[in-house]
Amino acid sequence: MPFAQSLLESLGRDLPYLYGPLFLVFAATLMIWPGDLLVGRTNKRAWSYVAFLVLAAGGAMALYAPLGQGFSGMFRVDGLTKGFQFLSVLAGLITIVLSQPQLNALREQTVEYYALILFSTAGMMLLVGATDLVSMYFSLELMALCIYVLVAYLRHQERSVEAGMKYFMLGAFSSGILLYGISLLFAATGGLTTNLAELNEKLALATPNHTLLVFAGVLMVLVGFAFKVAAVPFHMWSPDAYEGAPTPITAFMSMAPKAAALGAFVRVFGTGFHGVSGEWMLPISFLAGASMVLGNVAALRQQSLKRLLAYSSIAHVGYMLLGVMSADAQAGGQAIWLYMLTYLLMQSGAFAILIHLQGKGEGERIDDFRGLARRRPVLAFAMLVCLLSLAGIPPLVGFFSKFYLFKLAIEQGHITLTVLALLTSAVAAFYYLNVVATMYFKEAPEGELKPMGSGLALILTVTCALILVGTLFGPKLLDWTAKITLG
Amino acid sequence: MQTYLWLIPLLPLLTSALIGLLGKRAGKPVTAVVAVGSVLASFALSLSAYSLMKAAPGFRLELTYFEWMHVGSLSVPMGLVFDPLSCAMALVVSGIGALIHLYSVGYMWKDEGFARYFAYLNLFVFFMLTLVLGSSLPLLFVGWEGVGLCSYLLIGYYFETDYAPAAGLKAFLTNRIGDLGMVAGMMALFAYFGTLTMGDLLTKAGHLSPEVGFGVLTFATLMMFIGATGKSAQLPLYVWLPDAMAGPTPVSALIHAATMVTAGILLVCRLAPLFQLTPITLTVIAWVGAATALFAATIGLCQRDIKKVLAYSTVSQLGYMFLGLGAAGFAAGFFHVFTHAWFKALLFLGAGSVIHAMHHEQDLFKMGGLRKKLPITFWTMLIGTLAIMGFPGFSGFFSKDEILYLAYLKSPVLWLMGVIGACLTSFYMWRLMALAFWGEPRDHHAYDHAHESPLTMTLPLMVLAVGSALAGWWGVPEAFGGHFNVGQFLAPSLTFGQLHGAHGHHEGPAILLAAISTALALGFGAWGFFSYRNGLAIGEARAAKWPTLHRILENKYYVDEGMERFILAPIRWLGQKLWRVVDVIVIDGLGVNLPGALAGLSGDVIATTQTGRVRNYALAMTLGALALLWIFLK
Repeated sequence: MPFAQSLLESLGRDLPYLYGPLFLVFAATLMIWPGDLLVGRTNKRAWSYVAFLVLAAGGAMALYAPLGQGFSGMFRVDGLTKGFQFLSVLAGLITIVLSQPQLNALREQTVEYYALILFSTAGMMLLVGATDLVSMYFSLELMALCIYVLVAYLRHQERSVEAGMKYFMLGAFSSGILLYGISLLFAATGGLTTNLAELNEKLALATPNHTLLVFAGVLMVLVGFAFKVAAVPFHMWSPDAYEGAPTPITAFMSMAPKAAALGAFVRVFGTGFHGVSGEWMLPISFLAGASMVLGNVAALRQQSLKRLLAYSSIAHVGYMLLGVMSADAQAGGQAIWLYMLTYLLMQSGAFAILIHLQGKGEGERIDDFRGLARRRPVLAFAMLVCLLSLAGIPPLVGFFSKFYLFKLAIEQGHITLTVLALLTSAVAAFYYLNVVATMYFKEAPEGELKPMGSGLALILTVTCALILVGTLFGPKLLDWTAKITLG
Repeated sequence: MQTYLWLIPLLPLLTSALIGLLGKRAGKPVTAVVAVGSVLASFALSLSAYSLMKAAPGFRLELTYFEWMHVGSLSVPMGLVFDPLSCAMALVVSGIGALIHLYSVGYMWKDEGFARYFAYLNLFVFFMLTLVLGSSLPLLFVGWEGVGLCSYLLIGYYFETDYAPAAGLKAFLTNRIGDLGMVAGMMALFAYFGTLTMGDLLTKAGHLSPEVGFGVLTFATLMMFIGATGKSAQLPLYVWLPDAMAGPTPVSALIHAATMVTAGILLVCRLAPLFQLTPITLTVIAWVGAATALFAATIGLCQRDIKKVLAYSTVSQLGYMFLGLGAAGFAAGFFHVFTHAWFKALLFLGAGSVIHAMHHEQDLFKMGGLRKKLPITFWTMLIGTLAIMGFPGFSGFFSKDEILYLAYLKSPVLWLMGVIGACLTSFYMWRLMALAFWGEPRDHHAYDHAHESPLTMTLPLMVLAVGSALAGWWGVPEAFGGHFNVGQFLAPSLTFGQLHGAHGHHEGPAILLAAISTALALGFGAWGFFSYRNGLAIGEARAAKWPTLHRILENKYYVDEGMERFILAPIRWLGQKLWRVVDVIVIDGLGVNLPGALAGLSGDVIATTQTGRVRNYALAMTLGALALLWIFLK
């Protein structure tokens, strides 16, 4: 049986690239069945520890995976893959810890919750290594489908279910557009390949004859990605979904899928569509500019901190699109990776405090932060660090990650857009500082605050410490990023 | 192997953080042990650094740990440099620092903010050691600013009073002016040499010949000197130092007498090969130093507050150090830093002991007759006074004499100013001693309750007294048959392997000059002592004879009042107007609130598009895609 033998051989050769995500999928499956069946009705909380360990192990496997390319060029492990896989896993781990207070308070601990996080993380890990439009699409769906369910996880809460439903419908719509775009490109190149590297050559050849076909295809893929990263005007799902989802899932959505989708975004456009970058540069610069402006301006008037963070994440995506616009998977990927890493730290710190103040999932208004500095000076200071860093105020680490992104954009000649980015950052400073002012200068309401749980405290301590340490080594960060992502 | 030397500055930092965070919970004894222990450990490590440095080639040990920043062509390494100069200074800082720490334990024992005090004090030691040991100008500047910060914090330590925070603010703001000069100087040096690392800078400077006329180097060194005048309280930026006495007395001893205020002299010595190249700057330094020495000494004559006398004395002594530097006697200037650290720390701590005994009474006119009550304080302060007046054999004699001799070689007028200053110094010091320790007690209540300080306070006094007596023998000038060992020791740092060395050629009537100045100082000292030994009568009679002069001196030439009237008041008036017009109307109104309102309005508009209906969202997506297509087709 020579066929079977060669199949086994190639599997033996290629599988090590995928040990990380595959492990997550198997372990999550085992957790549901027979794991949950055997444990029965006992304490479901234990699953959070199992899931944490599994995710950490899967992440470690991915980190130590061999470098190379497998599955007929559909999947590739390089420094960038590992970098973005690391981000997704980190965000997943943080989310598991962040989930505990609310799930316990609402008595909603189930094994499915954790399994869905693991599945979607596996999807992200595949997504960032995908070097073929088809594998990219499948990974994207694996990631997204799980998140739809997670958004609607609090099935007794109307707004959670509604948010999940909306997100799912619009997601399906965008997936259709994405797939259609892929098929157009497939047609434009004569149906020969969906592999990114080959596509790049073929597209360059096909462009003179089939300009509209190529452009429509690229444009539709662009729309698909823009939806996933919530760039304006394909962002409208995100404020609703963010607000309706359980708060830890909101944190998850603003970090993990965003990191993975941006990683894939920069790889697809930097590798596959690199040759036709002239075609998509203008549309994407409009997406970037619109995201910066709208995300920041809309965040100004938000009374809910959750919605504020949702809108501001739209703006942050606008900045990171500057990295995609470099049309260079390596340089752009590095800048985005660094930005995403720092963003992840600041965002998870801010969410830890939000979740702590939120209690059972109610009350997320900025007003709840009144006088926090008097009631909980350390907490308020941690929040201050996170917010100032999010606003990109030097010398905090958020400044450096913005700086490198803007520097890259200027080197690529996107002066106008960079100026716009700088101006809108000033707007961003306003609403972040508004929260700071609320914490420090407003009278505190009556009543005691309960002490922070150890999980949240750990996340907050580690993120703040990393932000401050990163601040010390700000000028070094890009060198380190280059070392990491070059693998 | 020598990498552990980074512990020298970092130990105090670490303990500062620990004390600041946990000191209150740990209690005073633990805090005291940790604080004093860490500075002692730094001292021990500095000793080992010293021996390593002695063994190193060229007496220079440069350790670079990592690159701190790299912007354009500016590269700043995080590193320490150990050479004779930095080692000597590190030993002074950590050694005298440890003694003053020990003294503080006794002095501050009953204070509420014991832990806060030591957290600041250890932070100060960290920054001071960074300043001394930093291997590049930016790192030195970090220490420079850091000690300024700690000085500000400690001057304002008694924050519940009115005057202490104001004095802290004054120190901070005055130093800003100097720091501006310092930054300008660094920029000029970077533009000229393309580096700010000490080693590179001085090596490159070594290839240059002295600058003729006013060039970039003269500008840079002058700017640096302005920075030095701020930190080291020279004319016209000296005004903050007397007010700085609002802080606890050990702080006055450590920061505002022995270490921080000498940072300006240290800076000039560090860059000595550079200053060698700029004769104009050196001349300016010499004259500013001499003028400060004389000016501050006259103010010291009529002060009633024991700490104020010592404060003006410090300003005056710092002037001598600059006079030495300006006369190209870098080693002589530093030598005076060294001896002054001993005797001025001693005098301040002695004054602190007196104040402690008198229940926080600082007015000399209310003291008197304390000789028998405070024997240890009295005897040690007597040694300090002999040292500062330049009594033959005591430390101040050798260092001051060397400076005056070099000043004479530069210009006899400078020498004369220095000698007059020395006479006045001798006068006001003996006046202080007579008023405090001799005569009848003028405040019987306080006198009856006066008591000698505890051992933690008297032990440092005794150690410092030994140092004040003997420190001068390290650098017996050649005129007295010595070899001026200080100069030879520091030569590797000060000349940096250059030919035009820091050591001038010695000729002239050295012995004669020394004899004249010493005789005059002794005479003036006696005059001061006998005028005040039996009380205030003679002094008051003299004041009545020259009322105007006395009033001017007592009010410190009305410098503060003049500044208030002619500088601060107009600035406040202008600020008020600017605030009303520019700030409220232009910036707040047109610049901030208008765009803010516009942005808020558009935020509201956007919010209304967020309808919550899926079909609207899908429509928006479709329209968005069509818009992108339109962009392309156009």
